[in-house]
Amino acid sequence: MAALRLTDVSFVYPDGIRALEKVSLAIGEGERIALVGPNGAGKSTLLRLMAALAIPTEGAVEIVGERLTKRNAERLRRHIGFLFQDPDDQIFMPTVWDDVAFGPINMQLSEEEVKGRVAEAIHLAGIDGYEQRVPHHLSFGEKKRVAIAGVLAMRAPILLLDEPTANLDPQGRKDLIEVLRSLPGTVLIATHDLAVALELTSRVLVLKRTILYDGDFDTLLEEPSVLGQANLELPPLCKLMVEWRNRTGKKFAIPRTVEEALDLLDES
Amino acid sequence: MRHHEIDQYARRSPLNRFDPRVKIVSTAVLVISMAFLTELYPLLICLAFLLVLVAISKVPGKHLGKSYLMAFPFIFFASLTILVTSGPDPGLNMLLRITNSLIALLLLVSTTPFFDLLKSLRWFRVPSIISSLLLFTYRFIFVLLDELERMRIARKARGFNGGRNIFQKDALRTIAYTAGMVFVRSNTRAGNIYDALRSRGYDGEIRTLNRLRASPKDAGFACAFVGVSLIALSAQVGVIAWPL
Repeated sequence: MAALRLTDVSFVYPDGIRALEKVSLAIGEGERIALVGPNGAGKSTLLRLMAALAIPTEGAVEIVGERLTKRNAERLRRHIGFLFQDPDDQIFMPTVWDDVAFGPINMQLSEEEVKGRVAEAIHLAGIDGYEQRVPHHLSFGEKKRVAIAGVLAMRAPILLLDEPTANLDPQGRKDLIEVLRSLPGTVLIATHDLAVALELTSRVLVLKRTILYDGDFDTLLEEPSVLGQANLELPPLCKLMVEWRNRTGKKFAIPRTVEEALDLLDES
Repeated sequence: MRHHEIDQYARRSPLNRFDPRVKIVSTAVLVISMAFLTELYPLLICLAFLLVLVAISKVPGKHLGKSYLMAFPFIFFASLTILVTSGPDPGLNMLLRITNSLIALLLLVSTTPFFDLLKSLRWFRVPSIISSLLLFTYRFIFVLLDELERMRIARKARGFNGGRNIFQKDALRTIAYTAGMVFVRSNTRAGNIYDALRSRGYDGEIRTLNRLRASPKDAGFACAFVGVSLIALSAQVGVIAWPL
């Protein structure tokens, strides 16, 4: 059973803008997938449909094998942890502890269970010691971690992350990538940042109102037309390695990290 | 942008130890009693009681003062109207009545975490739509203020300085557009915030870990309020005479 399945899903906003056109895909349990595409591609809309926050205009969304309808949306939402792009939209409570506990309390868990989950989520997100801080007084990167902790505390089997590294400074981005690397379960990351996608996921979906590509990175890197259509640019490391491969005629999988690239160069 | 949050000192306050439901009822009893007071010294008795509570509450006077000052224009004009139409004593009486009521209510919201207050209102069978309305109104005030601040800085960065006076047509148009955009952007953000709440299981009910449990000390708290109300009312009807 797929964790998430979309069949010919289209979505039209009330003002007539057609955000998604016949999108079909299936996401298996435990998969880590990147959803990439240019601005206005429909990534956030697609995530909202997957998170049962909206109902498709056409087609079907299935969450853990059950078709999404208005009636069961609230129940199906419990299977999804959704990280919003702007943490200020997500953080609601007066202290970090309260905000992380918001989800588990709404799940009507026991006090002991809530406290356990909050402690675990705060630790996983790397914000130990922040419990009594006022979230709105934190830096952007810190707020992102609070938002992530709030999602982790729900222990949803499927995590949807909307641009998790957007607007972070290099150190904040690096720290957050480490947090994201350790996330359990099925993870879908919507991002412009191909470098992040390469580091954290094994499968990529390229979206521009419809799915342009669904597969692994190595094949995508050989499809310059898809990259061009989606206004995507390879990370500098990949560009360098692709160019080197073209010039030397050597055959190898494009390395995703600096370490992999150095190993490859050493072997050569 | 840092905001002046009304319950930011609530958790540290000794008055937070009392059951919020008892605090709500006690405050209501006092405020309603004060509505019947037309003499000066019963109102002064209530004011003295409230000032003692302010001292016990450990809420900084500056925090309460800021909140009081926000309402002061209304208090001032109401009292001024009575002063002009009925004389100085009724004017002072009105000023004291509103001030006392406001201090009592400020003490209630400053010493009770906002979510506990809403949960208590639900216990009193206040419809969930009302408690949700209060919750979102309070939360979205900060959203509106944030958007307003962003728009103000954006305008300033592009050279807008408010115009020579409010009747200048261009300045008025810019201010009108700003007001419109603040609401449009706040509406979008409010939609996102609501979606974020729904994604974390919010279903209209206010839930906290704090169990509402009244105890003997809450009876003492309630008795203090009822006692002061009775003393003030007794002084009003002349049962107790002003010693000075």
